[in-house]
Parts: sequence; C-alpha cells; structure tokens
Amino acid sequence: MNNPINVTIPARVLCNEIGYDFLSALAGETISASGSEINFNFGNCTWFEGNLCAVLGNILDGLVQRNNKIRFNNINNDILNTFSRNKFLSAFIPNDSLELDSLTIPYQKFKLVDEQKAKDFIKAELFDKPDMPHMSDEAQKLILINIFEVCVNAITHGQCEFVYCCGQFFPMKNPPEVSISFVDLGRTIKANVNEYLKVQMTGNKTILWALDEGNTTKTGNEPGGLGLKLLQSLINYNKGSLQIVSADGFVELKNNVFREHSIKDYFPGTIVTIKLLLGDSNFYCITNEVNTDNIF
Amino acid sequence: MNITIKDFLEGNTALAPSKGYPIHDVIKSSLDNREEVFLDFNGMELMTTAFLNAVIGKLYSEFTSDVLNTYLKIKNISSSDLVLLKKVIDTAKLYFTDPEAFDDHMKKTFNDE
Repeated sequence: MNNPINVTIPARVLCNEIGYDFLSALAGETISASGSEINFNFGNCTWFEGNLCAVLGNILDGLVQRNNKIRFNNINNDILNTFSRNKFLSAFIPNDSLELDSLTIPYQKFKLVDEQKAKDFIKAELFDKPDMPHMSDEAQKLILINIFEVCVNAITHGQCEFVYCCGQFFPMKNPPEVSISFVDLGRTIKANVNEYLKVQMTGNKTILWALDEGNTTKTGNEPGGLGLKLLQSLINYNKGSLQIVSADGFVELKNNVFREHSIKDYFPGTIVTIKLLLGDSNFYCITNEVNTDNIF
Repeated sequence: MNITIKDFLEGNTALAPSKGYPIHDVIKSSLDNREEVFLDFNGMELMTTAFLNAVIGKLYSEFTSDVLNTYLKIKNISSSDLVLLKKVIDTAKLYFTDPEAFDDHMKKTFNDE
C-alpha cells in the first residue's frame, strides 16, 4: 500500500466555482492514484449538493478500480443521510440500509446498452414522484430526449464507457425544481474542439463554440447530433439553467445569457448540470407545423 | 418496402447512433435499387437526434434530396418527433451539401470572436 492521501472536503460543495474547483482538483490530483488509502475528511463540510454525487461517484469509481481503499471520515448525519438516500453510499458501501428518498434521482451510472431500461428508470425517477407537479407528455418527452442527448454526447465525444448521473428535487421551491448532473471522465470539450479546429482556445471558448448552432467536431459521413443545441432551447423555454464544466472551462446559461466563469483547476472530463422548473406543465409548445411530404 | 423502426429495437426507445446503423443499411439497400421505402415510426416513444442522424442524416452522404424525396416516405411519426427529424435533416443538408462551406462556417464562427 502506498502512502495515504488525505482529502479535506470544503465547508459547502455547491454547483458554483468553488464546488467545481474542488471537484476538478480532486479528479486531477487522484487520477493516477493506485493502491493507496484515500481518506476523505468531511469534518468541515456542512453541505454537499446531492446531484454532485455524480461527480464524486465517477471519481471514486475510478479510484476503486485502481485498487485504492476509500474512507469517509467525520461525515455529519445530514450529509450521510443525503448520500445514503440517493443511493450514492450503497454504490461504495454494501448493505447500506437507508431507504431511497423520493426527493432524489438516485446515483446511477449508465452504459446505455439497455436503452429501454435507462429511459424507464429516468422517466420513473423524474416524473413519477409523489407531490410533483404534473407535466404534459410532450414536456416530459422533451426533457427525457435532452437528458439522453447529453448522455449520448458524453459517450460519443468523451469516449468513455459510462455516464454518471444524480439528481435532487426541491419540491418546496416555487415553482418546484430539479437539479441533475451528468458526468463523464473522458475527452474534454476543450481537447475535442481544439484538435478539430487546430487552435488553442480556452476551455470557456471551446464550450461556447460547441454550444453554437451548426458546430460539431464530428467528421466523416455522418453529421453530429444536436444534443447541446436542443438542450439550450429547452433551458430557455423552461427558464431553468445549464452549467457545463470541462477542462478549465465553466459556462452557465441562464435567462438566455451565457456567463463565463473561471475555475482554477482542470476537470478531466465534462460535467453537465441542468436545473429545470417543474411547475409549468406546458412550457414547451411546438409551433412549427412540418409536413412529411418532400421533407428531404 | 415497409421498414418499422420498432422492429429493430427491443422497445420504444432509441438513443445511441449504433442502434440506427442497421436501419440505415436496410434503407440504403432499398434506395440503391430505387425501391420505395416507407419508414414507419409507429410505437416509438423516444428518439435522440444522434439516433436519427445515424438512420437518416447519414443518407445525405449517399443520396440526393431528390432521390430521398422520391423514394423515402415517413409514416406514423408524432409531431414532436417530426420537428426533431426536420432539424436533423436541415443539419445534414448543410453538412453534406457543401462540407467545406460547413467547415468554413464553423471555423469562421471561432475566428470572428
């Protein structure tokens, strides 16, 4: 066993510059660790956003695969309960006994081999919760399409095997909200875009480029998907928010405006966090009538 | 020829491009022989643009719009999926009509910043 590695979890791990900086540093600093004992000290930590378990889980999964031994120390009961109820803990600690909370989309890693199962799972976890406002079938469908566009995007462009996902509901907010994070530790948007364009843009500029209509790093005889573009339009219609963290980039879309944040560290993959408002059942109306005749 | 998408899948969901390639190949084979193809979306609940690109977007590298309009017919598609399909078609047209212009457009987007 190599020397132990000690990681101090900050006081509040949120979907902001500080939270993403910490997770980026953690991913970067532990990416080559193997055969070590890694102690996560939660002594200072009073809040850890549930959806960010997707990021922590992706990092821990890699550590476990590389024969590291993981310990959580000084974790308070609130965080322990959160980690337990969203099934994050049971992914790493067998026999965790707390019941699943209806306010979470449980921690999950997808391979997208069984697409039907993946869709049924997310649909049930997202829309079939007690006390959640009803959303129209079309609105539900649009949200699901966008979620899976992100997953397919991660697997295709990140060249990774799994996408990690976790979500948290906030039913007491008005309107109720859900935050979901998707993570892959794979090729970054920065690496893909800069290689494709043969330039050296910053992480933020490459994310903005990837979000622009018509832009794709795909080459050959198949055009790229429209995943991130569709997602933007969903977010704008829904009045939610979208955050993308990749390499040294962190871009947020809210109220139709892109905001570039700066993170000090480098995330060796991509995090997509979407926040959706659940109160409006018909936020998305299809206004364009399209005819199938001569559609091509 | 009638091609029902659901027959190629294990359910009503199509997410990854890999699920679309076998359907694309059957369509292509019929279109190569200038046979009329009815692509039936009956029973489909959820499809991504990545899947639709693999099934249909890719056809633009092999056939003209005229051939596709003449021989490929869309059946039983929901209005929301049709909007999605139209976006995929418009992107594929732009991508394949003039790949260099498409490429230039993308690079210009960056250089203009």
